[in-house]
Amino acid sequence: MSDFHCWAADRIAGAVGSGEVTAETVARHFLERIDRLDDKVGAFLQVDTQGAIEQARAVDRDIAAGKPPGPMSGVPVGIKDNICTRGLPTTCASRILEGFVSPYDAEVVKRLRDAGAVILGKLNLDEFAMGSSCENSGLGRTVNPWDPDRVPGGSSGGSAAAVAAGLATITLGSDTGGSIRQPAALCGVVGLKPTYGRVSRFGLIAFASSLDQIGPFAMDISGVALTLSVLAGEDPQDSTCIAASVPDYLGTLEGSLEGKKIGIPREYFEFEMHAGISQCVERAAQVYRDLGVEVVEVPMPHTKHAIATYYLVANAEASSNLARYDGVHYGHRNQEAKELVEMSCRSRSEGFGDEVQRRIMLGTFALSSGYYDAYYLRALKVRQLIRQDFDAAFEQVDALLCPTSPIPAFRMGEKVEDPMQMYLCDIMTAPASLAGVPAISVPCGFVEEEGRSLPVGLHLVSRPFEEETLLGIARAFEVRYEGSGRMPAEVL
Amino acid sequence: MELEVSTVKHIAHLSRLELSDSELERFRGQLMDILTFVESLADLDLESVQPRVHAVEVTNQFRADHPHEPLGTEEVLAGTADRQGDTFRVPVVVDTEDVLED
Repeated sequence: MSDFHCWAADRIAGAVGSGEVTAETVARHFLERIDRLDDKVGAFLQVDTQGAIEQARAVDRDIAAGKPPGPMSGVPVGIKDNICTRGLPTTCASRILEGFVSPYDAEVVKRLRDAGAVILGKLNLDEFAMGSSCENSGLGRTVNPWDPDRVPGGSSGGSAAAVAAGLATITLGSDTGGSIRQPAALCGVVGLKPTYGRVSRFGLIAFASSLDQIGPFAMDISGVALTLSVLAGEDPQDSTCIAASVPDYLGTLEGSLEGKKIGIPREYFEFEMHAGISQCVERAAQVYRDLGVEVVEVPMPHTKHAIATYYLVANAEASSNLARYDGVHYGHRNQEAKELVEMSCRSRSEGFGDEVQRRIMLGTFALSSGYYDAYYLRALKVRQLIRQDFDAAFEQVDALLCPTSPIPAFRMGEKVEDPMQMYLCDIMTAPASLAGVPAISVPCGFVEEEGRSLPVGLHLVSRPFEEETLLGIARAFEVRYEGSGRMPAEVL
Repeated sequence: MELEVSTVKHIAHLSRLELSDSELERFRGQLMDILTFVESLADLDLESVQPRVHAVEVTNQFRADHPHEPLGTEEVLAGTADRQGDTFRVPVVVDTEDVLED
């Protein structure tokens, strides 16, 4: 038996590109693992067995014909199910989109295909990416591979769990307030949210357009660096996707940290936090000090307002974006309604789950006449202050360091009845989303809970479009952390 | 923050959602919790702060005006629950009797 699921993405691409192994062999290895393990993990909503083998064979044919191999040749990838994939269902884990088949590929999917990646299937999420546990999925149940009684985090829970269980080398997720980084932390993998505008959102089903950003998951930093090099760059189909040059993120990973400064935002540590998590993060800070990096405290005075701001801004945008699900053009339609508005209302209430309905209502309220100034406009102003906190901090330091999540993976059902408790899961990650800056979660330790080892994530944040610096700083920690690459015993 | 049932009903209608009485009551409680939490923003002095709508400043971003092949009719209509020929069919919007009365 081979161990391709323990190989880094660039190793697979190198081996496939040189003809050492075929893309089909690699694809079959992962499809066999999915077949054997995903009943327990529940990461995938759709596995495209036939399509994956056909893509892999096409990659092998091109290489045999002497065509230059793509940078992700034969790398098996999974796609969060809110990103369009031509010919495959794209459901957002919602009953309202059950059976919907994307008529086109998202730009990121096109770029992955062009780079030689093999798409294995579509991954579970909280419905419309709204949630922090994957429990809001209307179509499937994903567990944390480290403890099947616990959540994988969310909303990109399927993407994080798939990588943690070795069911895909790379997965794509989307991050609006922490939806890549928090599940990466809870599942013990690397998850990167690029700068807003770094990666095209064309074909990503919109939740909150001023915050949504697509990013990769991998077992290691090299995987997310390679994938970002493929995904990043201008796209005329997304007017907010910036025309900034795309460095070779993989090639520049091992740079020196000389002269770099890291900031610890004191305010982040004032929130209630699992003691084991703050110890892991403090040890990570010490690793940087030992490398000669200056680690200083920096003030981020508006941090405590980030969650309130985030839930007003994100849900206001969501209420507008989700207005398109009216039962007319696609998706679920109530067949009994006799009149148009009644048809829309019934279709939406039948199709959307509770959390999505709650957020649409909250957003509609914040935008409605008489409340707009007091809620939405006020939140936009606080968003400005939060961005200014980051701008001021980045005048002093190159990166910020804190935990990704104040708590490890929690038990299934623990927070579903209390939306406010679920929202507080994003307390460490939402500020960077509001500011639009890049951020990454990297495994940095474990805490013991009820006889189980649960992963802890280190959250690093840097200046806009400085992913190169961010990845280099993260990589320096990764090579010195003895737990890097550790997988849950059950899925090895 | 206190929310009347009538306000929640109004918001549900604006949101194009049809909620039962028990759902209305449950959402009312949860929305009040969330709105109470976000009221912490009221403590800030924001008089001189400019709102920030977007994370990046983008103005007048135009793409090249090249024609391209749009989705075909079959692809556009593939997802609808009710089609008639090459159109989407929906329930009555304007009642013909109303029109005749006018």
